Amino acid sequence: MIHYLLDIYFRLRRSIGKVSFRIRLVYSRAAGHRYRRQYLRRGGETIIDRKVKKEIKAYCRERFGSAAYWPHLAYFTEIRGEFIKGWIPHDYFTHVLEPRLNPAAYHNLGDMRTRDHRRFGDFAIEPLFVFISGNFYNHDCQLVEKGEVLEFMARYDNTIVQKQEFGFGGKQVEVMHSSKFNPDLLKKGINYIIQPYIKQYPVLSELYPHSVNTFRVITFLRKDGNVELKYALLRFGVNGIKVDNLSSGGQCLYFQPDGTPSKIGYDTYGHQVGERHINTGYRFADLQIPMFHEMTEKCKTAHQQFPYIRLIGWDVCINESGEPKLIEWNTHRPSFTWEDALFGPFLADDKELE
Amino acid sequence: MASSRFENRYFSFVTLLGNLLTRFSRQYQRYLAYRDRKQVVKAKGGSVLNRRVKKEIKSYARERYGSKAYWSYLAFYTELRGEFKKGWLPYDYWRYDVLPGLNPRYLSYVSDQKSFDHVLFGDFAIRPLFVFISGNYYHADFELFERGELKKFLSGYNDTLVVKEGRGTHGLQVRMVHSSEFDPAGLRRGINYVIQPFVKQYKTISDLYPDSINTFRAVTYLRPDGSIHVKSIILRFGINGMKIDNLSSGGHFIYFDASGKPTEHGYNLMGIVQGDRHVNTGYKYSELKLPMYQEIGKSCIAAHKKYPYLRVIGWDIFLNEKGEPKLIEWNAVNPGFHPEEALFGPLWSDDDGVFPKIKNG
Repeated sequence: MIHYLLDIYFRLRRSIGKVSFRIRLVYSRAAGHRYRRQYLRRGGETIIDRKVKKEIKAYCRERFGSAAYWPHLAYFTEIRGEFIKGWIPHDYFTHVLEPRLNPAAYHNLGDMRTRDHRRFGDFAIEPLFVFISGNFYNHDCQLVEKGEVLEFMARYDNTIVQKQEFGFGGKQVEVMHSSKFNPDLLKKGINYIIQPYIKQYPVLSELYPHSVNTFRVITFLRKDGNVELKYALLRFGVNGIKVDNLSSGGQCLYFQPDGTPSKIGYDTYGHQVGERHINTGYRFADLQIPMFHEMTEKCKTAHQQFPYIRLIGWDVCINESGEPKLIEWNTHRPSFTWEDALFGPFLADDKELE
Repeated sequence: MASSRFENRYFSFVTLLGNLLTRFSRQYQRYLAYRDRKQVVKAKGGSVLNRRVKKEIKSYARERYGSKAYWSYLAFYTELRGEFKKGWLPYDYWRYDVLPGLNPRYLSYVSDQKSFDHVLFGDFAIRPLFVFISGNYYHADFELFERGELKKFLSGYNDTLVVKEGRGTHGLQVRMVHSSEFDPAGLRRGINYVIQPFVKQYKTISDLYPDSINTFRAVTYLRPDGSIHVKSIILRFGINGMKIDNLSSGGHFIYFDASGKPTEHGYNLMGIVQGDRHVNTGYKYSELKLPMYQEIGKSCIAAHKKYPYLRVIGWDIFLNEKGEPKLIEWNAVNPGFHPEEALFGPLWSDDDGVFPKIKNG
């Protein structure tokens, strides 16, 4: 009986999954159309004519098995100014390719932030405490009494960062003075990491001082087992926002693998936002990050330690003394949309994606 | 965004479906308790449940768990044990009301990733010879094998390899192959594997039954105050030529008390007595002496301290030739316990925080 019910349940789930997959593709394609319209409304001129559209559709049919993947590529074409073979449309990436490259079964292994310092050593920020299963532990996973934590916080007298494990998009992160830390406000059933507040590298502070401006470094595990850098972005806040996330209104710069920043900044849709920071006036082309190579190498070495996931997005900050420090890493949906359009194609070789 | 609105609705629907199934599953589990109880009565040739005992059980279930519907497992336990014991934790309450809170699903699945055990637990786990992940061969420390290096290693190794799928269960998806016959191109891309040395077990355990690797299942529990305790330890072994020790495949078990003294009798999956000697080797269970018994519990507690994300873990341990406890695998999704609870329990106390809070007044 139970097996019969389970069978029905799983069949139903599979069917719903299939239908929902189709619907999500349709929605995602509608988003592709919408982004394109938004871009054109902002004054962009369309370069898509009948011939280009035909070329895009033929490419989609040949590479992805269906011409229906064309809307995102049309958007890519508009913002890049030309159509380039080798791009991966966002809907295909999200719903087909990424689940294959980054199996869901291994996401949780990656998303456990309270383990990062044990896994990546000095590259990660050593926590002051972690809060797991309702108890406090030190960085070495030794149990610590609540009283000791409070005592430490009173002595510490500095800013701390309290993050929820499995939080995303910079949400569920609180910055506070250690004296304000209240262990009783931590939610039951959620794990937390409590870290020291990182002061960032002076140049990054000059760019925009109100947020910790982080790099998003995308590394890819090749079929031969070697890890390569795909691209890096530097994200920063604007207009007084305290976080650098693009989804919260932040902007970004693209960095070439040799560490040269793009002359122009971009917003969350890949739209250009000018050559200087809107508030500080910092000229993007003047930005020099001497430890850029060290940072990308650290990400590549860290990826080598976790080959279960093939495409990883590393969020790295540079501390006051210029050391790259891992803030978090993303095994699920590392950003891969307009970056591919403007600076890619990054995944053009199908043999690498098998 | 519309897409995420749709996703939210989709997930709400799947959750609703899941909850519905859980309700069915709980009812079915209770039916299983009834069915198993009948089998126990048949095997024992009589029942100890009379009207008075039944009433006592139901009133206890209502008082302790808030509903007399929990009586079915308690009745099953009573038949198995021969008497009713207050303090028992009914399996349906454990599985559906307690376990999801102790071991969140999304964290429990880490226990399925066998190629990661040595990373989490160090020397306690069997160090792999190599692992196969995302289509490549790596050393145990995730250093990539150079071209030709694996071939050289295999030809030099000249011994049996144990090839396990990263997410296999119940001893399935495990095969043994001599290193000279191992085909590096034969593993399936898209599946991760861990390749371990073939292990030999402690002589006493082999004397009990030599054809399977006989493993201990130790259950450890992280209390709300952060302390970790061993809840139960059983030793499972094969019979009648079986190559594995799993109870679900027909194996038997003996239970050890806190001092390391084994039970006089062996038991089957359901908890029915199967004699005081091994059916094939004639080994008398009460004579089994394991000087390193305490080490088993200590090793499991030490390992649990390294992974406090889950509150209850079932550890499958074997004793190697030197008598050292080594981890075969660990289970957090459903570390079962009901024959032990019935036969040797109550194993849970108020300090464990698993019982529902009794309402005052």
